[in-house]
Amino acid sequence: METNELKNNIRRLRFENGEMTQQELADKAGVTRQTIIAIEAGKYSPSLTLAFKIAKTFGAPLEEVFQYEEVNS
Amino acid sequence: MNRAQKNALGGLIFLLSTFTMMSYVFFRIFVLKKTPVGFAGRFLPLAVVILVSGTLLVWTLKRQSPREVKEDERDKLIDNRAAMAAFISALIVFLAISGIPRLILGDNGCIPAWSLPLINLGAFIIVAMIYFAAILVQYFSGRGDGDK
Repeated sequence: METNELKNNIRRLRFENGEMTQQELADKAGVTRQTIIAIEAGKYSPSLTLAFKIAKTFGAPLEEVFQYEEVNS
Repeated sequence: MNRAQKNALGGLIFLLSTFTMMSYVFFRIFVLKKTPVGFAGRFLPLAVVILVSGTLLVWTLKRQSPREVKEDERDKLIDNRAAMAAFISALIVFLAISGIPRLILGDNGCIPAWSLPLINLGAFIIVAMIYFAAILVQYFSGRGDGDK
């Protein structure tokens, strides 16, 4: 069976960007800290708008922040 | 906890305390047939509800961050799912409060008139509690180990 997975590098990018806290990222992206926690943990897939906002906050392209993978199980 | 979680937890505690106090007052007046005596006896349940709701209000208004957003896309999604769960539960509760008295009392049974508002209010409180609980469950199931 094929499943889809959205992976992200938010945690790494936060630390590379002056050890940005989840709250700081949340404030910049206009969401709550809980949403950032859920996205980082892969438990919530953000909308395209939010994904672009997060990528813009890091000044990185979208593909560097989020990766789409198809997993065969 | 974000604002939506605080509101849900606050609402749940408020409804629980209100329902408990309301049941106590109804039970005392209509079942035990004892009218509360004195100022404390009459207003203590109300004071408990006011105290609980006041504390919850202060707690829910406290912000996580000066730039904290009130609601984001995930909060809206969670709220929509919780509303759907509450709507389905409302239908089930409506069927239950219509059918259970008939099953217990029989076709020609009767219930005291004072119990009707309590049943309706109880049904409303149950549905509202399901709504708040559904919000909390969704946040809890999606929670990771985050840092601050």
